[in-house]
Amino acid sequence: MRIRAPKRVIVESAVAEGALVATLRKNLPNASFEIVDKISDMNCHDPEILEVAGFRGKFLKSCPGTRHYHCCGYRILHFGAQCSLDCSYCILQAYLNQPNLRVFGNLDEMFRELSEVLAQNQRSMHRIGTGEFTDSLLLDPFTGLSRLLVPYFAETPNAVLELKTKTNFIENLRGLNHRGHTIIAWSLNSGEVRKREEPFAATIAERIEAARSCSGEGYFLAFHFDPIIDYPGWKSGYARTLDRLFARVDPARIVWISLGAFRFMPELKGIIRRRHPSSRIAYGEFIRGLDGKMRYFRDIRAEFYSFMVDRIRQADPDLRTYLCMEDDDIWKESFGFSPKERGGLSQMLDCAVEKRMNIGPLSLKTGKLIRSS
Amino acid sequence: MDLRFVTLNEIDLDDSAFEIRKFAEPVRLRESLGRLGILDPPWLRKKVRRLIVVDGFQRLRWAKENGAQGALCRIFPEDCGALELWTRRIEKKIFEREINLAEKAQIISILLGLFQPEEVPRFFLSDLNVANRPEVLRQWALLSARGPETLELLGSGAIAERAALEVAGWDKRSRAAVLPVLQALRCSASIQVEMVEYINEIAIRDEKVAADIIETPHARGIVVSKELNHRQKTQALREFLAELRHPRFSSRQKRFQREIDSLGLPPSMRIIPPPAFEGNNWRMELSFTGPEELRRIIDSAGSLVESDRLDAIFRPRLRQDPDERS
Repeated sequence: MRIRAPKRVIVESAVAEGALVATLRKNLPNASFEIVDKISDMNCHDPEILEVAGFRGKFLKSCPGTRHYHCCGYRILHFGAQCSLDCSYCILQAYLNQPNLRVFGNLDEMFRELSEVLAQNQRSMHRIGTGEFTDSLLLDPFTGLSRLLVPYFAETPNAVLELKTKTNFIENLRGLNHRGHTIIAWSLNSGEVRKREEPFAATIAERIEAARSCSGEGYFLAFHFDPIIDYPGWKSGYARTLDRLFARVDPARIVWISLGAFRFMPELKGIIRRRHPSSRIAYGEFIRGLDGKMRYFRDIRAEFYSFMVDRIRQADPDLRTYLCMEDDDIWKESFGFSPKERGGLSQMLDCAVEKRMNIGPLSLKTGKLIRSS
Repeated sequence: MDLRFVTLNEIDLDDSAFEIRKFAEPVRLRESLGRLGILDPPWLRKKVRRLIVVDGFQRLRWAKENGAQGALCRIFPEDCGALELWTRRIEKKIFEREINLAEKAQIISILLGLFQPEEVPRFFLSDLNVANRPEVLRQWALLSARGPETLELLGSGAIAERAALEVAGWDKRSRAAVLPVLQALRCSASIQVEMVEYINEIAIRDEKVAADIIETPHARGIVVSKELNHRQKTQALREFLAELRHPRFSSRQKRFQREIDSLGLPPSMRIIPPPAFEGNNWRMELSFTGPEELRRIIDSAGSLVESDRLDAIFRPRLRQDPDERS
């Protein structure tokens, strides 16, 4: 896949002298750079603009789970916002006051905050990702951020970094000393859904090849089948993607696979209808979930997950598969157990990190890995 | 602007450039004219040697039909531009007691002819109770362009505003199939919207047009039924559409009902699943007249609570934990 390089970079003066802007100037030689005091909110999207702002909030955020459904307990490193892949189902379309691609230029502050949090909680395992408000690697060819993040996490004994993407922009990851602390993750879908709903993202084959390549570089991998979409023939569509994945990637290198059926804030329906008139994803059999989001009716979700779990278990029965934002009933119906019976979803994923990556919280006494029971 | 008595011979009553049709019989107006004559002077504008009507088409037609010589009229000069005349005309129109949807659609269409969508004066839109968004205005204009059959239905007052806007973008066959059904059912605005949204979403999902949905034999059967009254037809059609829109949910509801029926609960006891079977907040409802009846109900329900059939309702399909298999 290819991405159009931004032609105009708007930079807040407070971060104009930082390392990120210097890298952007080097990697975007044809772009114009404009320095402003503060980037104001805009109401129309311009795909040629990249904004570099100073971020004034907390860089580390908790995954926005709700009490009704089991959350993975992952933490988000908020380094930027928005995405130009323009997938029909994306919630970022609803962020109307900041429609342009944006990265945060105060990287020193971001790393300072990260170090403080990790130092304070040495007995905890930290799973940290960057792919919640943007794609982790979409702008990496220009920002080179992975070349800062991956070596940083290589030196953190009790943390792993998950870079989640729908691209195949992995060039910057080659040759980095990651020491097995970075998971490169891809959002996957059936080929039909990729074609219709995420046409500007890398093809499924490109993503799987990129994963294989990263595996060759010693990185651990993860995959997220999210959003799973209901359509006639979904079973064969998703089975094909799983078959392609396991044919090209050794399951032993995969730390986890998450499954999440399409869910959305009710406001998104009108946006999808307006922005993607040919998309039919908003017309599935949705009900209002306990968190207020629209979700497929539970029997449909349970069928998705049971099918996917069976196929994944055939490839590797020990591969940690989990559901994103689902309740006990759906877990039991799909897996035969609920996360509570295994110490909670967070604990289950920490265990997966420990077992597959041999990384875990350190004992303060011995300085060695504290093994989970 | 002159105010003078004008004879009907001076007026070109066939020039309808400024007409906003009601698409409904002006019964109340005619009754008032019959009793009191023309109270509010019609507006005319000079055009070459004659006068054309700007406002007051119905009043002047009534005058002609009733053999009047003429009427007291306000006359705008020939150099008074279309923008100024339309602005005054619409301003006056929206102060009328009741503007029907056909008129509203025409007014918005006229406004879009006079202004860019972003520049339509806000006071017009707020008086018309129309959202100030270009896509909404375009939908109204589309409705206005849908021809006299659609506008007559809108003018009749039988079609709710939101339902009308929803069908504005539909093909001609679908509009012709659905709007008369809504008119015949005489159901509330919210039910109309529900039905139209269901029809639309089913059609998009199944790659059909709306007419294909409402013209299925089952739906036709409901609409033309001689046994059902309009309320029963409405209910039957809603259920049919809900089942088409949510087939898996409907089938789960039916299965749940069968399982509950097979339990043989006392009639005064109900098990209520969580909304849409989401989550595990099940409820039980008991109705009783006093302690004795309560004891009797609980006694009779005791064996049911122990039954395996009860478990089946709550746990549709449990999978085996692979770790427990080994």
